[in-house]
Amino acid sequence: MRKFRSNWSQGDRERYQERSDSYRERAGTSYLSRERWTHQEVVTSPLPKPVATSSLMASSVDFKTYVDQACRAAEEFVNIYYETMDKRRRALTRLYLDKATLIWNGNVVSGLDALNNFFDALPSSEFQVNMLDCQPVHEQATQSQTTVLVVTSGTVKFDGNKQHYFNQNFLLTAQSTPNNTVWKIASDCFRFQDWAST
Amino acid sequence: MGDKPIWEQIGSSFIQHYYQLFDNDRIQLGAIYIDASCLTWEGQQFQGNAAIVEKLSSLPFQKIQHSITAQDHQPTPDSCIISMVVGQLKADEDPIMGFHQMFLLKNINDAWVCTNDMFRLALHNFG
Repeated sequence: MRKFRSNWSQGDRERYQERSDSYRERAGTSYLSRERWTHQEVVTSPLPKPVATSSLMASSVDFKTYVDQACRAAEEFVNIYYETMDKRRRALTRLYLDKATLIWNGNVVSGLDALNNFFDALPSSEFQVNMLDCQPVHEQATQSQTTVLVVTSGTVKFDGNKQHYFNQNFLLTAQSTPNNTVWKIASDCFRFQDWAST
Repeated sequence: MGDKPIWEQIGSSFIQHYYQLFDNDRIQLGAIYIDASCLTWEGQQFQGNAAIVEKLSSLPFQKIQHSITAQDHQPTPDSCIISMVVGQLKADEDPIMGFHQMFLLKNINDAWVCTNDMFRLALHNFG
């Protein structure tokens, strides 16, 4: 099993360790100010665009920087999201666009009113995120706003239920002003992984 | 009872096509990616059709079979489609493993291509 795993993802264990250590570190020392946290928005400094927009592909150095900065914003967002879900559930829908849609274990929940009702009825939660991947969506794919895709996985225990492994993906869009960027969820998809791990 | 929404039809068609290609002749996956596509495979980033196909072709197994447990599709504000897949796979004679994968699909010149792809195995024990 170990050999097979290393065939699939060379060096992944180190990368995972690095990634998850840095993710957890960041979770403890978020640079978002207390004021922003209280206002329940995820605000970052403006996200620069990649330089070479005339060709389909930005130069690899600029692209990497762009990816890193987008992913840092995404990680901050994810941190805030799960903490809000667990500890300030009533503020959670402020992280969604008005027309955002969530698919929760196959059930479609669309728009803020429905989202409010849904999260209100959901039992209290304890999330543990173990993995996070993100990608900026290239300018060619979205014509307007900066968009980032995030995939998370980990475990969650809802009050009154057994613990589950989960996967979740988010489409985050950035609403930019000259001074800052406010991130919100446009699409959200959540599923339990139902099989037992060995 | 109405038909499924169009994004579900397109998304599930794509998913079926993708895993069929992957399981039978993954070099052909080149047709679904473009120069601007990004793949994150178990944490590694690849950009562009060529790099992606090279990574997928070089994966070290002869036989591979995917089985989809669940799939979800949503339209995005920009008329793209985001698809999430949860399932299991078996490579060569190795034990069955869980996986999840996410695709962002865009319509370019009447064809649906994949601009973003993120794949992870469901590995819970890193011991």
